[in-house]
Amino acid sequence: MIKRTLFVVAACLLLIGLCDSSRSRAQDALAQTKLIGKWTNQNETKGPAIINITSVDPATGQLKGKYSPPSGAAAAKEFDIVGWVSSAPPVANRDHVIVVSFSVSLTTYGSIATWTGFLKENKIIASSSNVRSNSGYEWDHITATYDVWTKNP
Amino acid sequence: MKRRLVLLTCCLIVLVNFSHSQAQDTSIQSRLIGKWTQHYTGMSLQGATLNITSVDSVTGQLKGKWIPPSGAAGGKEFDVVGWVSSAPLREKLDNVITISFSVSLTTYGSITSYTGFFKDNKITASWFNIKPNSTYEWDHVSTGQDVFTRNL
Repeated sequence: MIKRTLFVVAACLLLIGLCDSSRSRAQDALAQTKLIGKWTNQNETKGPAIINITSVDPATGQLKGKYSPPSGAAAAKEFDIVGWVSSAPPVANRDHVIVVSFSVSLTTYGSIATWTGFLKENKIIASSSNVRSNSGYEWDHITATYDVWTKNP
Repeated sequence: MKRRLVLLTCCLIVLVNFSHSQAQDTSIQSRLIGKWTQHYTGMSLQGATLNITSVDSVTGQLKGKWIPPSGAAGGKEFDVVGWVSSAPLREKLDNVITISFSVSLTTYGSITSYTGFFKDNKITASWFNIKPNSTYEWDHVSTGQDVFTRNL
């Protein structure tokens, strides 16, 4: 009798685990669907740069894509982006988001830009930092701001 | 004869430029590839280990591993991706090798990205850490600056 009860409990736990796992996988798939595609930077001071997220690895969360600058010497060129997408189960009384980061090497200038932020309400809200190879002072190679990206229809 | 000399000169210029560029790339790679220790600015916390395993000589793509010093992820290895770049030195400007890398700490669901530069055998980088669960909507992102020194 005890053996049988233990077996039933174990089977239930396994089932719960499987359900959680499939829910987590479904969430991951949802995040991918939400992220893959073209996004436009709404920061008016920078101009409407476009990122095209082409893939998110379902196992590692590694993100790949292309970055198209809005203007300047690199305009109309495409640059590779690499980064990550991740998440964790929601926690009670906590604000929950899908976290995302991507980086591009603008070889035209020798500069690198990185965005680190989150996906929420169909927007990517991210802090951005840019490092340039040549600057007037030792202390101003790195600049920072934040951007909001909206998905192209 | 003149034509041959012009051709020979062109070939020599191309060869010298190519080998110089290759040498520069090799130099950047040899200076960056290896293990680095993170130092928190203004804190005595033990830092993580960054192991840069490759820098693509054509694209500048960086790959490596991140080993946190403690916590639930302590001792585990996480993949690192990023970029290395540079531009020719310009007169009266400070010149550095630019670098970025990021790691997805899957144990927590958080991501940390570093953006900075390599100069004087150190990597100085500002970082952003983003966590999926936070008390308030406005505190998902933390930021700071770290210095990485090369392990002997």
